[in-house]
Amino acid sequence: MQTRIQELRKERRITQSELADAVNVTRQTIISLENGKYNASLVLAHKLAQFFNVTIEEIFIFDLEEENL
Amino acid sequence: MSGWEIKGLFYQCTARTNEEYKVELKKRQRLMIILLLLGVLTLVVMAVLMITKFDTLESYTAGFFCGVGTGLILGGLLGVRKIQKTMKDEAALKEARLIETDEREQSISAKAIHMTLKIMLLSIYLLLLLCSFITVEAVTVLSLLVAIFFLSYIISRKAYSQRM
Repeated sequence: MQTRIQELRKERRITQSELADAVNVTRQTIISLENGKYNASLVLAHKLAQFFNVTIEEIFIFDLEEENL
Repeated sequence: MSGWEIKGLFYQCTARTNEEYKVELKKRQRLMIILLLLGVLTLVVMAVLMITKFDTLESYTAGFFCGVGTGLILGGLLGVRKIQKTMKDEAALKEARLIETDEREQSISAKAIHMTLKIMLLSIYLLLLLCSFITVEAVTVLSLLVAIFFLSYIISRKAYSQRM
């Protein structure tokens, strides 16, 4: 799934390590989320949304075709 | 290979703070002490067997017991030492907790375990075919292993489906 994590992070001038620390995951997880290689759980999606102060839909780009819906 | 990659086989940690993780580590420390005691017990049993049945005891059996016992003692000691070292250092504790509780790491472990199980079952199947030409006892043991695997899976699935 594509995300806007990198864009939001850069807007706020936050490093991957700082974001990882804030949401209690490893830096590698942030890298995988930014590359769209890993789909976050609902809990992590909420944590990220709270951290950036946006809605989940504003971070994660849900592709209906990709999800076969 | 880091320690976590193997730990992922046995543990799925959900600690959210360093304090919760310390409680988890203390449980593991007790497990390590049990392993250490099992090692001591294995060596004691070996020593008793060597004294009482010295004439009939196979050297392979003696070596096997000694190896397993020593391995358990060393593994237990190293495990306890590593846990104590981690618990004393807050930075190391946080790093270890983050790696263990990371959802992506846990997902990777679950996928790796799934693949390993498939490979194990395929290996057992091939061994069963091979052993059927050589020894009946091995076929019985391997069949029992497969039966235990499926039985454990069915029971665990039922237990988890009631919880979730």
